[in-house]
Amino acid sequence: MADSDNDSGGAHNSGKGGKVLPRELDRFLPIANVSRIMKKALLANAKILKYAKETVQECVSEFISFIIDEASDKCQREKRKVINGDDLLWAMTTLGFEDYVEPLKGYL
Amino acid sequence: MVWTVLRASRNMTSAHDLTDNEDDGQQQSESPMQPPSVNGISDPGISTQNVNVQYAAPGQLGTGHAMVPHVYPYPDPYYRSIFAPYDTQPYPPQAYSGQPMVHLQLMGIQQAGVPLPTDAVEEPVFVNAKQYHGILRRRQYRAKAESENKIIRNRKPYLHESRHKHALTRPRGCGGRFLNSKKDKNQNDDVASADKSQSNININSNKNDQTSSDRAS
Repeated sequence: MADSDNDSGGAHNSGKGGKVLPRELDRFLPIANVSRIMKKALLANAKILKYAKETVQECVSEFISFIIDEASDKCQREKRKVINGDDLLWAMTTLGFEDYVEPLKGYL
Repeated sequence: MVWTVLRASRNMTSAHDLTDNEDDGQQQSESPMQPPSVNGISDPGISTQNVNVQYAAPGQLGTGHAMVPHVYPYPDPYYRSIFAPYDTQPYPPQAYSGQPMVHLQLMGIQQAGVPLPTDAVEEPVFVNAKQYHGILRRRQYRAKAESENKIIRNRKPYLHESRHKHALTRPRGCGGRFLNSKKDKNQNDDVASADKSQSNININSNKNDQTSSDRAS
């Protein structure tokens, strides 16, 4: 429970190793949110190992970085500093995720 | 012609995206393994301790862990140019053992792909041609982050010492679950919705996390 609570809170209090802690938190999405999304797809009495949550957390964080890097490259080429929704949609198309563009238009 | 084939492959099944995510995840899990061998003697000790913790926890949870740690003789040639050539950590084998499945899935999904240099021992993993440069760029970024920040792969079992100590002192029932967890304030905060089944799910998940965290530390 403490792990989930701490991750959800997003507090950056550092009991030890103050430099490592913020970077570690900034690298990944909050694991409690990832865990909640995973549970939605499972049965009510299903349990998820901590290592499965951590692996999915790394995967989704890497996927986000994958898309953002593509959009960021486009902005750098066009000498722009702000990444907007169209850049994200373009990045999804460029990387072969066309199926995502239509649902995402409602959010971006 | 190639593009048409790629589109047809993607439209047929959604496993393509999952496979790509898995591939990226593997790359991410591989890169943190290198720093311990570079830093020296003390880091292998830390990694060894973490290995014990990682393998002990699933057994305590009562689930049979099928992963058998075995060391591959050859490191990843991509990271050889950046870090030490020889690495005896058991973590890379985990990433490697998952690779054949990804390889087979990719072969089934995409007929026309670009061979991606991954490992000297195994065959190259074929990926979407559109994502080839993106994957290479992400690899360089991760390697750069490794060399600069030296991000440690070992995760902290908890973030706050006081909360960890409080959890250790809480009474537990059979199976290691907390007693009176539904009435506890922190537990209520974690529950996202008022639904009973959802509440039960959250309680089970938090208890499992706490149990593994407690036994790990």
